[in-house]
Amino acid sequence: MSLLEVRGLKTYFYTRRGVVKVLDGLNFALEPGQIVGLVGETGSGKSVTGFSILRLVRRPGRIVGGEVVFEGRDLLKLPEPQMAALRGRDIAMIFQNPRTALNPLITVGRFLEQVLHFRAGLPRNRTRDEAVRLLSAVHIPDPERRLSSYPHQLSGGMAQRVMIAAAVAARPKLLIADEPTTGLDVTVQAQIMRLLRELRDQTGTAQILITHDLGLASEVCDAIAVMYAGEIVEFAPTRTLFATPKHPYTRGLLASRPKLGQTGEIPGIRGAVPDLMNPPRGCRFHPRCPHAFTRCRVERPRPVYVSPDHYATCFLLEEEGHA
Amino acid sequence: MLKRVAQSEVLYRIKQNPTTLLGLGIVIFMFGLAVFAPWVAPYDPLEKHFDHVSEPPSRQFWMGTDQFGQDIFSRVVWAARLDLFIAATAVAISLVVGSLLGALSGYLGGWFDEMFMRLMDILQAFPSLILAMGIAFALGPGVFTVIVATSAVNIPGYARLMRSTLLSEKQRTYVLAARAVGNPPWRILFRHLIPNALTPVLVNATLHFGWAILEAAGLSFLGLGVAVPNAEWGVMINMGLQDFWQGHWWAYTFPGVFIALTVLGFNLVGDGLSDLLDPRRARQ
Amino acid sequence: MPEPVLVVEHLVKHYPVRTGWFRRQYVHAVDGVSLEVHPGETLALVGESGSGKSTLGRMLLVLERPTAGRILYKGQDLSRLRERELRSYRKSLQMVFQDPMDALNPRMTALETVMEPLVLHGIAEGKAARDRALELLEQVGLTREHAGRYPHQLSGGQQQRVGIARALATEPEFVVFDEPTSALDVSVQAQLLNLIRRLRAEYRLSSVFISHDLAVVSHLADRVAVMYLGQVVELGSRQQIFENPQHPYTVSLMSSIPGDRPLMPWKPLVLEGEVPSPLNPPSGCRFHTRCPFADVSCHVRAQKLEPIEPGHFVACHRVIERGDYGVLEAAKERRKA
Repeated sequence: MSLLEVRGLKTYFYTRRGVVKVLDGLNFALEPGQIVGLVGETGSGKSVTGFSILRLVRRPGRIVGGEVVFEGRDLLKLPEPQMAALRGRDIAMIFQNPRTALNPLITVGRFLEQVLHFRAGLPRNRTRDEAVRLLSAVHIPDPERRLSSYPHQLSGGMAQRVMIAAAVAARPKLLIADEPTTGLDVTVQAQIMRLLRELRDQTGTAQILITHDLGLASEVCDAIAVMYAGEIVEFAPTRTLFATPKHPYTRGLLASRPKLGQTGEIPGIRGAVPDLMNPPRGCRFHPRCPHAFTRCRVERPRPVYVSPDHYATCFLLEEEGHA
Repeated sequence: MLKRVAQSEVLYRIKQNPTTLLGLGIVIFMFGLAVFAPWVAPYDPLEKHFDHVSEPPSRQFWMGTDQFGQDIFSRVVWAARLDLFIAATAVAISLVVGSLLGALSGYLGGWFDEMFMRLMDILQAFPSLILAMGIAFALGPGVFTVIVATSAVNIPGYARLMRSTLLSEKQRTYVLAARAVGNPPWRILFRHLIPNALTPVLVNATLHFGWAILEAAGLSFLGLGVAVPNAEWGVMINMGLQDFWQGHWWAYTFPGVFIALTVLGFNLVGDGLSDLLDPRRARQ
Repeated sequence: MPEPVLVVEHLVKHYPVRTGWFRRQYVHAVDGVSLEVHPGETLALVGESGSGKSTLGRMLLVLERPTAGRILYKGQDLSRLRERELRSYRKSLQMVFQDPMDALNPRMTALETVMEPLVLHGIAEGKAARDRALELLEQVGLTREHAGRYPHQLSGGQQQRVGIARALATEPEFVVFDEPTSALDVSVQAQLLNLIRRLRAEYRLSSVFISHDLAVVSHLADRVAVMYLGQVVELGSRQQIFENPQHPYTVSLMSSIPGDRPLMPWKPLVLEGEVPSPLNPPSGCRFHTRCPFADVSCHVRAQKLEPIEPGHFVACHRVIERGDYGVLEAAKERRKA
């Protein structure tokens, strides 16, 4: 059984200018211990997906349909108190800009001990040792001394490590990491990615890595879901996705990233992300797609499976005789 | 200046907010009275009806008459004109002078900034009414005195606000970019910085309008501002209170209500505007 | 070789910061950098935060005054000129900034922003300036409709296009691009890099391109200067830097580029720790605290850029004296394979 299964998830934002269908029928599944990347550009709905799973969508956004089945229970039907108990314990989340997520008046030690006591239910006399253990698990040098540091004394990478330590304190089954390394230096980025992978290998925590960087996702993810305008347009194991991308958007995205040693024009994607207030009819990518034909402009493509674990929502694949 | 948020956006959000709408209604009403005073007021505000001295409100004199037999309603209406004129002029002067000085101080920095801010400290150390009284004593009573005193008292506030918003704007990259394309310093200040730092100052001005009226009326009430027979709300309350023990409540109540209403109106609009232009809200 | 467009010599920038009641320390943002930019070339400045690359970029245009050193443009030391005298030079020396939203005046339309330098430098006025600005906007891929918009009504990519049009308005000789695409989505970044590449040729620009992203740099640069804590640690042509990196820091930067690995599996050289504070840069070689190859001599010996082949300079005495490290060689071998 899948650890998490998202079925037909719809999250709309009710703004004054109209309804923005940020997520309009999202489907994906996550196996225990798996790391799945949600990759997309601004406005693809990847972050909203993370918040929707935890039911933390803020006004004017609202989840209007679908199911989020976690260990057999539909989270969207759970009463709020039970949901609150689940957050941080079974499903934890870390964010971009870790330093703004830490209370500036509380030391790292007190913060972690609180998390361990209230979230993981550890007795007070054991929290300190456990906090030290957690800090060393995320490779913070001299963890004993770090306990008395305040957030402003931490570098960005260090702060993110503390957030990861807090997130895994209660041994969650799922960790949602929303752009965890955006704003960090490249060498630090590599360290954090290595840490996330190590965490999964040691504790078996399944993860959803939300990022705009396909390259970064390829570092740690077992599988990648490419999102465009509120939909998953392609889902595949990482290697497969890089070796044989099927959706024109995925191909464009891969080509957009300059390669080492490549010179000359970068074959990118023309145009810009559509306005989700009035998304294009049919396939949402068709206005930017070099291969679009009549059918793409009227009919919405369904997932076409090219292999049991690889699908893309594109009519070209049907033409090619898949499905 | 508010072009950016302006038009539909502002109107829409005002409509969403009934108290701002109420405030706006009051303000428009008061300005209406001020502009159309000659047509609204049934009598000359200075005309003395000797056979109708200190009469309570009646069909002939809607708000009664004072001890000289002057029609209170007509005086209240004409006073709106005078008080709003004083407040508008005072706010305009303190806004322009204060924000210019504050902008200059923040932009130049260094010893000029230091000296100027200390001067503002000294000015603000006096309670504003005492300071205004001091100025009024020196200049002698009159409309001009009220305007000078009220604007002088408010200059430090505008200067400070302008300086602090300008200092934070100064950090933004567009200022550096303006330098990079070759703008001379004065142009960076007037074309780039001040327009962007002006919004909070303008909001503050709306909020201050009410206070300016209170200050002006206060000075006149104390006999330091507009002279006695003139139709001005502070003056009228002063005159009315002389007959307090005779129970002539209408003589001071109506001007008092008008002052209160006007101040309320401007404060509501000011609050509404500051909410509206709060960038954190505007982002959503 | 023709005369360089811009030469900087021993450029230093220290910022005073108060660290206690009476203590004042200095942030060593840039510490003794010497570079040349040749006509028509793009020199890339690569480094992480705290490397001083942005400060250096601003100093090249004297938007920031150096603490010491010289900035020579056509034989004139710009660092000694007064702001007023510099203004005429601003016509030929321009900049494109990192955060496009923040770099545009929120109360000026795209058209007004692009017209401003034309008017300031007396290139065009009135209707002529307007027409030229519209033409520039068109060149960067914006329409007449965009011209009347304010920054908040434009997307990030469009904002940066306005920023580029503004910088090109005076037809400058030299442009500093300060991470122009780092705030943008990949597909937008690709479009803008293509645009910059095209305009660079059209306007015959000499430029400095600042970036933390080696992939982007390898795409645009003719020469690359790798910076660490305010100093240049390696300098060379694109081929030299990307195919034959010598400094351990350069090698680790290359191996931190995400995404090239699933199809190119070579053991990455992941560094431990983070960049030390420029307030108290380490003694000796500044990289020694993170360098996997450092020995005692690195703690004390300050490093100097020395040539190891024509045009290729490295600031690491161990590379220079002993030739190479075994690990580095192996890493590069695996990379080529």
